[in-house]
Amino acid sequence: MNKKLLAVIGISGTLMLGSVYSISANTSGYDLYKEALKKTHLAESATLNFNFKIEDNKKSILTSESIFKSDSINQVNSISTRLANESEVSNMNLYKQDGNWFVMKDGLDKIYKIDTSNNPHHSNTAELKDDVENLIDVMTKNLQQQITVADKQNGNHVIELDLTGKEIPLPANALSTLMIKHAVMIQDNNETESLDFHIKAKFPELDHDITVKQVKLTARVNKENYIEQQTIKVVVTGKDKQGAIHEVVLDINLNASDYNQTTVTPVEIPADKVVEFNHGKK
Amino acid sequence: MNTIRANSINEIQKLLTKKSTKLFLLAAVLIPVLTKLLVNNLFLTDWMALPTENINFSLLDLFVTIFIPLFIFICATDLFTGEGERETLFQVRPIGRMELFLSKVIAISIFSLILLLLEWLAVMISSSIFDKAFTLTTIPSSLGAFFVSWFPIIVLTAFAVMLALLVKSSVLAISSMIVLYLIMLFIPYVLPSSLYLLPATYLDWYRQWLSDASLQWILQTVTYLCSSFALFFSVGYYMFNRKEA
Repeated sequence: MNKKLLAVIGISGTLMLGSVYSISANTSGYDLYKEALKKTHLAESATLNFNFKIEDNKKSILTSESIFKSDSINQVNSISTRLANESEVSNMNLYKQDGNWFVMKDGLDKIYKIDTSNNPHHSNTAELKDDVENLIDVMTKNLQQQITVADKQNGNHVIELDLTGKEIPLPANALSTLMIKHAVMIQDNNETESLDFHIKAKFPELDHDITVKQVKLTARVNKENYIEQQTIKVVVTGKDKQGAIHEVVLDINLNASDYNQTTVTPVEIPADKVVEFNHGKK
Repeated sequence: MNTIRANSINEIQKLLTKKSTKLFLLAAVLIPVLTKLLVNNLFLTDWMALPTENINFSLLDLFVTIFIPLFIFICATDLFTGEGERETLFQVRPIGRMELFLSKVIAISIFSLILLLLEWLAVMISSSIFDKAFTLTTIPSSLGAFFVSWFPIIVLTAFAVMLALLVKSSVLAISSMIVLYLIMLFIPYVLPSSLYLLPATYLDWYRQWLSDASLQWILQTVTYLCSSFALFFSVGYYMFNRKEA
């Protein structure tokens, strides 16, 4: 009797460990993406095409196209952005060189200088990152199994996570709804001038029945394990005060290329046009 | 077979006379009704349109991760450790050890199924009364979700029974079960690789069933649930068998 029982314990224990191992291997899409993200962050230089557009009921209300060149060895960055709403277009160029950001805006004869040396925002230690990583690993447990990986030719992988309606975790949905509602309220009474574009999008003032309908993430990872393309699509629906239904779609498309091969040439900054701008203060 | 059935009914009756059992049954009905009332009549929720199904499943989450485990721990402590203390565990009755052990595990499992189904009924009825967006088409999927949640709960039952047999005092048994359960919930945040080893991870596995689960995942997870149940059950029975009458 005891021998039989011990055999059952042994077999079931082995089976259990085997299944644990194979279930853990299921999250390969998530792990692949995480590794690629880490590697991409370590790249010395890259060129990023960052585009986003926001649509309200299929009508474009804000689009932006940026080219971001980064060279972290020489600490030189350049960003050129084109932003457009329904009627206006604006261009802006940003350069980071000599430890400072310089902002040049279309139609302005001034160059703003932002001193980033005492920026309080970057105190990220590696230890904190590990903790956050563990936290995210566990919190997204149910989502990880839904990430699909498709192997493409020439060693590329396409990673996809598509969540609709009830698949979106309730806390995430409630929190983003809360943020949208707040953003609408802040937009109403925020008239102060800032360094941003003068272009403002006419967001629909969602008032009730706000919900996140769809979240879709795709990423293309190349064979060197760099992220080549990342797209994010978020669909939010809601009604405004008059009860009209709005479907707001945010589309983000990020294309990266020239990893470790991008060179950024510093530009001439005419010193007499530079105006100091303090980060975080008015 | 008949003795197992008779004794399972006997154990269920024993559980029913307990005050805590009645409290859990009451909670399974009241909590969904109150939640639905609050969600639909609270001022801050009129601008949010959270999918009704999501709220229903959050209620299920609350039960499968907190209330039902607690209920299982209380039952397992009472039927094993408690009876051991009172020396009523092996009374003179015409029943073998295996049959006695099995019928106790069955009794706890059936009771947790009753709790789940009662909660489902309360959720559905209050949802049809209070929710505007209630549709009949959600009934099969939600019933399915509540029902599949039963299987990881059976595994947890076997785990609790195993622990109940390890210790001799009821107070120690129930507190160690709760502490261990809390550790199981939180240790993956420190050691992510331990996540899929712990039975508590699978309590909300119904989510995978709702979003199209792959056959591979079903096979792996069912293997885990069956083998871990067999492991806890046989270790539990091993200790139960060695106990002196």
